[in-house]
Amino acid sequence: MNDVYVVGVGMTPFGKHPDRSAADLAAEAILGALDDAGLRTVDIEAAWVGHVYQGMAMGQRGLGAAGISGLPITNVENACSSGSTAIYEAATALKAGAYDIVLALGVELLSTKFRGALAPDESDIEAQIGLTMPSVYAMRARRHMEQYGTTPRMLAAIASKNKFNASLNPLAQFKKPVTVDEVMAGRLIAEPLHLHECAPVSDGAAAVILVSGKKLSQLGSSRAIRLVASALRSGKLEVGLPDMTVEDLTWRTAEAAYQQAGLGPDDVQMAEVHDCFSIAEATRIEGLKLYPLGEYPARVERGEAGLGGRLPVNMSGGLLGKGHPLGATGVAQVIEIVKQLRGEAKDRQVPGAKVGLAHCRGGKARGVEGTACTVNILTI
Amino acid sequence: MELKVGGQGPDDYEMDRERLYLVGSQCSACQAVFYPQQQVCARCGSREAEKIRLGPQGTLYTWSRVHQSTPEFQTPYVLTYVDFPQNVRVLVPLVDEVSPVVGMEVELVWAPGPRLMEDGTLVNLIHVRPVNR
Ligand SMILES: [Zn+2]
Repeated sequence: MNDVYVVGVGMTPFGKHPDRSAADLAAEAILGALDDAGLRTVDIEAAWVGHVYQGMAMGQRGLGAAGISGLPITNVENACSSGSTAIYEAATALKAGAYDIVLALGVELLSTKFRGALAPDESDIEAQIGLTMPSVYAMRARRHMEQYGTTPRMLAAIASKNKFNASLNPLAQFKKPVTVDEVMAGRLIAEPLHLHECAPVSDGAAAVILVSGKKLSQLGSSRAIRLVASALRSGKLEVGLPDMTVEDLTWRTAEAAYQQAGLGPDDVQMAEVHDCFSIAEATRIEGLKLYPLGEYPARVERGEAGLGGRLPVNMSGGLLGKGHPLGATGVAQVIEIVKQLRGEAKDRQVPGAKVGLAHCRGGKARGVEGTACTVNILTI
Repeated sequence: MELKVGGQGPDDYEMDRERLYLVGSQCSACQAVFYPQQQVCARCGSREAEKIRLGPQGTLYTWSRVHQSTPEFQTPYVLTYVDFPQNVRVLVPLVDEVSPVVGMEVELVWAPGPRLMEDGTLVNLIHVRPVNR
């Protein structure tokens, strides 16, 4: 199988862009990635485009706005993992030798479509009796508190950390740090989760250009970052009474990725994980086996997950701070790892990072723990 | 006008001597239990299943008081996951004015809310309430 490298990254600022079109956002990210790679529009051989709510043929509209057409374009919908699934599909095609230069794009324009809490699909019977995404995670948080002694302040510390990280990221939606007390003083969305512990509604686009090892030796890019593993799994239908604090889906995906990379949890030096809610960062990190079950929130309170800590998590600001334009999220996570491994993350640079992991999982469908999960591992 | 809510249809529950039960399905091959009833077993793939009564009592596994929701619901309301002795977990709202506690014994009961009809009145849905209150 061929090696896969990231040679170009580009993204729009995340936030509210109600005056722009999704295609316009997509074009900005694509052209940014091309410029970063030193490539031209005609060099792209195939593209995968992740989005959730942008309607038919988003990919063709987005690439078209960047002046790219005629090539194979595949639109990908996999809930919050749509963008990272686009990367997975693009990497899989490169590994198989089908192409040498491909584009993975994620894009979402939500602010003109949604307000308030996102709910699972209306046909889902749990949504019909009032289940919202925050309440799904709130009920996991309650179990984490019951089983491990996690406190609401520890969960608030996760949100505060990510909001602080976002203040160091010029492309993040939130610009101001938020203290633990301010998180706790916020409006309750679904107990025990407060407003700052829930990812915002966001717009944005993010793009990466992936090349084969063969193409890389022709291009000779010195800033290339190797994608050593890309894994995708879906949630299993649940039977019986599973422990809600255990992320089986995250672990099954991570296990596949660790195996591909020939690496283990101890090798990971920084991670971007899908913190759609404060509690989610904890159960993801524990599901990836980066910390033992139940221990992560207390470690965050002690500063281990911040800049200069033992394992910096969500240095980009995460979904809580950087924003969460669903389809773009998984691509932006990989972009953060690339910037960190290149040493281009400026104020939020993790010194000497050589191995980074990006985890994305999302969605809720009745009877399954989660809909789709990806783990991408990158190295220098 | 009747509002159709999934998992709350005439095949999904039974009343027996004043007690309310949910009706799920049990795989005839591996005994896995599902609610609502499922034609194909998610564990073993068998297509043979029989109806099974769930409840009338169960144990509150976790809960959240929901303060922000979609416009079809009257907030705040409490959602719970209840573990039934038949080895299945079901999402059920808790009746109003009860403080939820993980591990509390609860029983199934009809109660209004949290879903609203178009005219603003509350839909009658299957809830749980504490046992012996
Ligand atoms: Zn079975």
